[in-house]
Amino acid sequence: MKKMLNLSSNPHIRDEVNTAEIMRDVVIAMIPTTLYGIIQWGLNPALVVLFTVAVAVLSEFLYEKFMKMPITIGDWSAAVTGLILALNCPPDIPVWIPCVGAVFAIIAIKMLYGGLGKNWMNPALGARCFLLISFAGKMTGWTTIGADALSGATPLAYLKAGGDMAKINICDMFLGRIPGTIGEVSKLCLLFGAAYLIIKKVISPKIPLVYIGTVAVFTLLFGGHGFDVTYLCSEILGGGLIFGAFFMATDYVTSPITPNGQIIYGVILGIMTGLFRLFGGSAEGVSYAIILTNIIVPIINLKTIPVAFGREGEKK
Amino acid sequence: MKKDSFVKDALILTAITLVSGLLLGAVYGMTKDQIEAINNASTIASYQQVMAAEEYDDETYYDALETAKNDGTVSADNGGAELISVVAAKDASGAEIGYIVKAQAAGYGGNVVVVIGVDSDLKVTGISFPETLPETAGLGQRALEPAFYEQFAGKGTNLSVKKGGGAGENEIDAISGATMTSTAVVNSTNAATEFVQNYIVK
Amino acid sequence: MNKYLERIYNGIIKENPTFILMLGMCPTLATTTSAFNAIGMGLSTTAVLMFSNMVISALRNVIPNRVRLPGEIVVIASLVTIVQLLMQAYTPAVYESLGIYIPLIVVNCIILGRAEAYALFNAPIVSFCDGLGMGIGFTFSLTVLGAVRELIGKGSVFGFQLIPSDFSIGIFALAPGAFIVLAFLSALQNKLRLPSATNGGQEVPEFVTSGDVLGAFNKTEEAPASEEKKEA
Repeated sequence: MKKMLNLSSNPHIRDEVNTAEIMRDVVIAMIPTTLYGIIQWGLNPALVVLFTVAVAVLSEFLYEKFMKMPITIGDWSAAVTGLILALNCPPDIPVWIPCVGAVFAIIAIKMLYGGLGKNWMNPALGARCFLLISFAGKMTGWTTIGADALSGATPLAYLKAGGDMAKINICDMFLGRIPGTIGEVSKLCLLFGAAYLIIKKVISPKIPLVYIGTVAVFTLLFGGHGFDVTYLCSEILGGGLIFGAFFMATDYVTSPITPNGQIIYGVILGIMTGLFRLFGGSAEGVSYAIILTNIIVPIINLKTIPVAFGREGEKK
Repeated sequence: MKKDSFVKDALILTAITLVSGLLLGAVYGMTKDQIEAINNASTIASYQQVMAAEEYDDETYYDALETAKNDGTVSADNGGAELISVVAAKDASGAEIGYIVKAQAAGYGGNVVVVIGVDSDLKVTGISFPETLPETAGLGQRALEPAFYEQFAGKGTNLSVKKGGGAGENEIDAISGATMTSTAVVNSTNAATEFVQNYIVK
Repeated sequence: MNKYLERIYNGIIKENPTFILMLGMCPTLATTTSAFNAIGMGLSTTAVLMFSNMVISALRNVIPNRVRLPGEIVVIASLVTIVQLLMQAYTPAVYESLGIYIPLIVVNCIILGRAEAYALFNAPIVSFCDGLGMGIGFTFSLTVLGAVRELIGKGSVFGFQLIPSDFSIGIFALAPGAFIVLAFLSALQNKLRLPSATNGGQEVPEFVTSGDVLGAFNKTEEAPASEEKKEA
């Protein structure tokens, strides 16, 4: 036999591929959108990405050293957390703020609960919400691009404040020539990355498609603009939905393991995002929707465990 | 046997309650005047903050306020802002130097209550916030910063909110990221000046 | 040390209400937004605790068992109202900033907890000292919590700005931050292994409810609790 059977917590992967390779693939998939953000906004995003990843990896290393645990930074999961957090920050944010977030993500959300596989909420997103609450002004201060760009508001915020739909340019929203966080604006680059991950079988398109589909249906039903295609496209392409659906909702540790569970997860995510975006105070709902739904994933897992072949289901 | 102890329990409880009640009453009587003095002082202090005066008269324009509330035009003109109370500020000789109106409007997390001082030329002398704001920390709460509320002193009627800086003479720079709170404060201010204009100064 | 001082030491260190007994969490989390508020809350609670313990202890042979709880509540509620009126009249600043949490002292678990667990079975003066000790312990832990939260969340301590507020991590001045700081301080307290009721620092009292919450869980696997009740 090649390997001994060993009992471990998730992520479980039935392949020769190990955690490091998967995480590296995720990093590679996020490179296009990172480069786009740097090209569009200059030096600060580059520094943010660099320092946040470095601080994330360093925090994990120091914690494991201090607690005499095996050093796991080689599995690249800290780097992924740092990168996702950096890409979720506005381009002109002072560099020290995402670094503080990275420390919180790695230490408080991940390591204090036992490390990779034991966190019950996406660390990068949890830290992003931590930063949103702590530095509300700086985390929602967007940089304009171009002379005729919507003045300082993301398209979603503009729409929510009752802005004129005629000013929304879907092409710009798809390419990324709009205000937003470093990694979320360029849907084109994000979809390239997502395609790479799907081809390499790192993620399955099920959760993202169900998620986005549910948001679309919710927007159609409750958006107040009926079947207006421009509005629908702007809601789907706006904010962190594409980024969240393909890169964060598919995180192995915090998403359900059963196929039915994943569909339910996608639907709940879609409903929550729709509720927060349309009826909540802020224009963006993806971050809070994902971390709140992460918390009920264990119940989704429990309720969707398939009956083993040859056994009867529980007698009600 | 049981009945007896029931009555006995009830009597003891009544006795304890009676003694506590008497004690409470005594302390209440002892502190009543002091508490009233403090409440009056804090109300006067909040008026002094927007318009210094010798005397604040809350009876003269009480009816005018009720009429304005019933008419509803002030509220409708200003995004649903509601008038709460009005006080006439008088100098030492008893002449009216201005009016202090308390108004509220729906902000982001609830009603934002504002006290606005309006002089007889319909110019705002200043605003203040008598109650805690139900707004988001770091965003709407920044209405409490002087950089925001000091803008109102000296402005006139029909103010509007300006986003992105560079407010003109009849505009107020919004708090960045907190347009709803800024609008609520401006609506309340406009309601106050409109009320004074249409119902007091006429 | 004599029994009065022992009670005071017990309340501050061995059975600290916040970190060991984990009682009175609601005001702990709500009023520690600044060190000043925390001290105000702590001292008001201490005032009520001392006198409620003393009065209930003095009445312990008078109040019949059946109306024990209503009797205690009447005493506690009256004391809280008296404290509230006095604060409103003579310390308006503290009264304003604590707001609704002053009347809520009535339902603070520490007060009823100590009345039930200690004052009902001990003499008035010792009970007074027990209340004083618990109150000081509560004030101490509240102040530490408040100071940490104020420092990280606003950059100041007792109103003195030590760090420019641009560098303040705002979440610590809000509710989630309260939970996080409390968690870290409790972990720190455990790590430092100050002798306490929950880490073997003192013998587990026979009473299930005598402040040792874990004792209740431990006991259920052994003999039933009723057999271990001490006579009053």
